[in-house]
Amino acid sequence: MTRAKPPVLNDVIQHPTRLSLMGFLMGCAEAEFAAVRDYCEVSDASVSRIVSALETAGYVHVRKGYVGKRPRTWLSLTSAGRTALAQHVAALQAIVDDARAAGATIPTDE
Amino acid sequence: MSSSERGPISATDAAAALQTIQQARNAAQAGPAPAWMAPACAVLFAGMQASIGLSGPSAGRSWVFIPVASACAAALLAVMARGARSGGVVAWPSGSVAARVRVQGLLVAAYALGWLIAIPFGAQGGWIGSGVTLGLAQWIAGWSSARAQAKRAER
Repeated sequence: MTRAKPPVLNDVIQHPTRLSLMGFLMGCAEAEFAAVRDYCEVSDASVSRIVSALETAGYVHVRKGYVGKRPRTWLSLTSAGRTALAQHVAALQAIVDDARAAGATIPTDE
Repeated sequence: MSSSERGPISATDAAAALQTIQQARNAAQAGPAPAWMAPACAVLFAGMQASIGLSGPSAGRSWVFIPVASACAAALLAVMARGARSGGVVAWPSGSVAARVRVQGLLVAAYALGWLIAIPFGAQGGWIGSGVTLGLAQWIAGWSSARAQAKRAER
């Protein structure tokens, strides 16, 4: 079976930690930097680096604010980020579907 | 945007990546709604409404209840703000639009039902009755929503 235009993977979000971060933000309106760091189980510096790259790509919006006197950073996906992740998921799903159609046995994710 | 034609990733890796994304989404959606939130909102709302009812001009020493109603209202706002950002995550409203409208409709119906008490007992009874019925309905809705979240998180 051939597709007219095969879906493409997005290099910017392909790394597992970036995927986790984008997936986490996809599931909520906005998340605190610390909540994202705790979920991804990486250091502050790593999250900063990833967020910086995703922000440059226009996928993540960073908002600085305060809770009381404590500075906080809030992260959210932009609409471009949501679209990019949705396309990336479609491309991944296509790979899995193609392999299944070809008779491959893939560990189920459902 | 930098994209690459598919090929450098195996089907197994693709399945694993899909699972990673799904787990991350579920983790954010399941955002820890504190167990105390539903009962706290219910009790504070009922307390606020009852205090408004008891502070009516016909009640003796009614002035006592005005600060109580104000305190309940302030605490209710604080609890809701705290709950909305619990765990550092601002979650999307869960469920379909129809399901959310149904829940809100039930809350409004419970509030209106409480006001039926105003027929035999006057406005004071209406304030107290509607506070109690809406508080109870909020409690049940909160409990039911927490249960749904827990089920989703298990998946």
